Amino acid sequence: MTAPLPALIVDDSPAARALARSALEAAADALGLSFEVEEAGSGMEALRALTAETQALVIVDLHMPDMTGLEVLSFWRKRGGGARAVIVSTDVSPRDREKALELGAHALLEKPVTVAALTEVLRGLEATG
Amino acid sequence: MTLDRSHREFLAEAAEIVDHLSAGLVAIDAERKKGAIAPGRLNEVFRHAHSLKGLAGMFGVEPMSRLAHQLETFLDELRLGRVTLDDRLMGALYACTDVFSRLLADVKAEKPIDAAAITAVVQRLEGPSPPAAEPAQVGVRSLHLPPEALSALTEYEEHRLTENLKSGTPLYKLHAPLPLASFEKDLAAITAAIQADGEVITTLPSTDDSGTNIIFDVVFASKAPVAALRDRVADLGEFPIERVDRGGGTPAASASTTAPREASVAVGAADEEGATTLRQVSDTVRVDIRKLDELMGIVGELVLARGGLARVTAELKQTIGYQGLAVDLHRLVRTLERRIVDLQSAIMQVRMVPLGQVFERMARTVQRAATSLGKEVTLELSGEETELDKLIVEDLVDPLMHLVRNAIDHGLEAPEARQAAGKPRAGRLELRAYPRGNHVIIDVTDDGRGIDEVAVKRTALERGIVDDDHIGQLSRRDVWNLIFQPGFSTRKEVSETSGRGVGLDVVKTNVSRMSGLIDVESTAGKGTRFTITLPITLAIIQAVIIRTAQRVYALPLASVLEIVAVQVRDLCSVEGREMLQLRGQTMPVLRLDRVFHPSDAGTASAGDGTVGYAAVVGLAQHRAVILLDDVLGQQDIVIKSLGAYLGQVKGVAGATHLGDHETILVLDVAALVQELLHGDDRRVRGIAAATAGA
Repeated sequence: MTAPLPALIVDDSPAARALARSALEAAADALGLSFEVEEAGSGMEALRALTAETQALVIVDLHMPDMTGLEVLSFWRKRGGGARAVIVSTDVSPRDREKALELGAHALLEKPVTVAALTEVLRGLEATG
Repeated sequence: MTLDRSHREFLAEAAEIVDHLSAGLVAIDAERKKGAIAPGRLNEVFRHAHSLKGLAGMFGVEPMSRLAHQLETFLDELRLGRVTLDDRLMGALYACTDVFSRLLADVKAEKPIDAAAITAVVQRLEGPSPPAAEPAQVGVRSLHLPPEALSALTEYEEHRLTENLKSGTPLYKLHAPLPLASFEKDLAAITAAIQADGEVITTLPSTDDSGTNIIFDVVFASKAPVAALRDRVADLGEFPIERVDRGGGTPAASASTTAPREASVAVGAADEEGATTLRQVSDTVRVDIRKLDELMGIVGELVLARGGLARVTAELKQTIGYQGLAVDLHRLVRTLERRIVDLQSAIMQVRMVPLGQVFERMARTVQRAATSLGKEVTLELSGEETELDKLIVEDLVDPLMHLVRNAIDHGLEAPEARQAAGKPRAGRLELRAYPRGNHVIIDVTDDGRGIDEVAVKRTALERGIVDDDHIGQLSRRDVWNLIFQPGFSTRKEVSETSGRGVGLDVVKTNVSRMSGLIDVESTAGKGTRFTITLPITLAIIQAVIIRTAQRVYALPLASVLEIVAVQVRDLCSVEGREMLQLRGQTMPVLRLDRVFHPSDAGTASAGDGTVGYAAVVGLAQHRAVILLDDVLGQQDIVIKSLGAYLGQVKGVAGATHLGDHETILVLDVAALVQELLHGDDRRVRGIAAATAGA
């Protein structure tokens, strides 16, 4: 069993964070991984969390009042990044998808985030763990 | 209504978003009629639709997510300038919010959803739209922006840059390294300053090597001169502002090409359906806890007014005797008193939340910690329904989480070791909460190996927490309590196991901050129990009004364990410090006159030689006594802040009014005891030794 990996979920909707958290926990369980999940309710909170700890996994909403998911992702990358980054959004335009992937996101998932989709993203981590 | 909790949460959040959405649409309609819709406004409404769609999708309310999807797509087109908003489309947007309201009502009533209404609205949004101005391709790539800034732009942000380029509005980049301590506030101030007559398009965060700053590159459009912009943010620092478009060749005047539709529209053209019911469907109201504090403050004033009235009544009874008006007044005062008590407890009820939600989070922590540490743990919870003030519950999470991790890591043995010791493989961890008077007690109990007294003593010696002379005199309880000493657990040790790098001293400090106490009990081989005692609320507190050295103070009852009468012979001196012997225990003595009025301490020691009182107070596991001349009574008080000027006085938590217009200081017992105990290391050892002598 590996040590829990620090993960950050960023979304301005509390319900969306809760759902992402439970999906992540289920996906992690399925793969025998575990995460120490922190939540941020805004881009600013996310920056604070990212400065405090090196997050292995970041799940971030594309549209937030104070910042876009791409900006948060770019900050995470500049601070050294981590194993996986996922952008979530309700409606994914091809242009935004292209941008997210260019920026180093591993996936751009459509909301609501499902266990299956996250499992797909996390696959491979159990080996490197 | 049989809605489960997640459903109620869905309704509350969705209703809130629909409210924001309709408010946004009304604002857009108003701006549209005036001629120009602020791009930020469209973006905001788009985000609401986005959130609503996500939420509906999450909770499987398919018709709602379908409509939200349609709305989001439409608003996206709108904010990207591909659609022009006319009366017909505005009407369709209003119709959308009505349908959302009705949908939420149906969900709440658990009625089947009327899909026909949705289909109709969706069609209205899909219907032929007036031809939109073809977005001219002005190269965003031509801007003087670093590649990483360009790569983090969303499609919408690119669109806004293009639009501003087209209209000839100068584009700038402001470079602001902001300190970690306050970047949220500083950035908000910068953004607000720019938005006074400009549009913030993107805010790209990055770091420098120092790690003490977060750097923001704010790209914005503004027609204001650069000097004016610089002035406006000058208070916050000197930030380089750089023009990023081609240097302003295009005259700003060309902006008028985006001629808005004039308000030729009849003002009353708001769609018919706008009149249908917009009744709130959620029964929950989210209230800022500060508003409740305010309410509580008003009740406090009411209590004081009642006190005045009661005094007048008493006087009246004295003068005219218990007859006529005096009797009536007396009865009315009694009724008023009961109502105030009802009001007080009703407001208290609103602040109360069950501990169950914290326990649920603990359950997750336990699972994760057990897995990562290779332990087997059965978690038992009881008393989840016990209620505590919302603010306290929030602050409780960290200390509790730490204790739980600590129990799994240090308390419970590995499955094999447990088996060898004749215990079940799975360790038992119990979280139990129960009310006791105005307090709530929370126990964290494990059936692990217990605290190894020898190891604790060794560590305490190594780290210089106690010295050789005194360690032999420590009682078992004193030894257990050493684990709460700062510096007992080192960062390194803890980070390997619980990953957070805090010791039990932090737990203790956190608990003290909530006016709580923490205690530990342990039996070797059988297990350990941590007990946290917390006041139910901090909003209104019960206090003992005391007098010492001719001054009156309020002493929060939550920190008082008992008040006893003392004789001079109970006092003694240990290593030059005054101590009180009480039932075989020795506790350090605190004299308030020496703390607050050291100059007249000599004359004020009236308690000497005569009988006085001693209040036994506790800070976490520490005990101390405060000597008093007299106890004047017990009263519910609302603590008022002393304000910025006096706010720093150590040992004073604030002030409160007594009924008779007298204002007295409320003592901060935690700070006083801390000061007494941790004045310096030598003293700590002295006290440890003294308590051990008991």
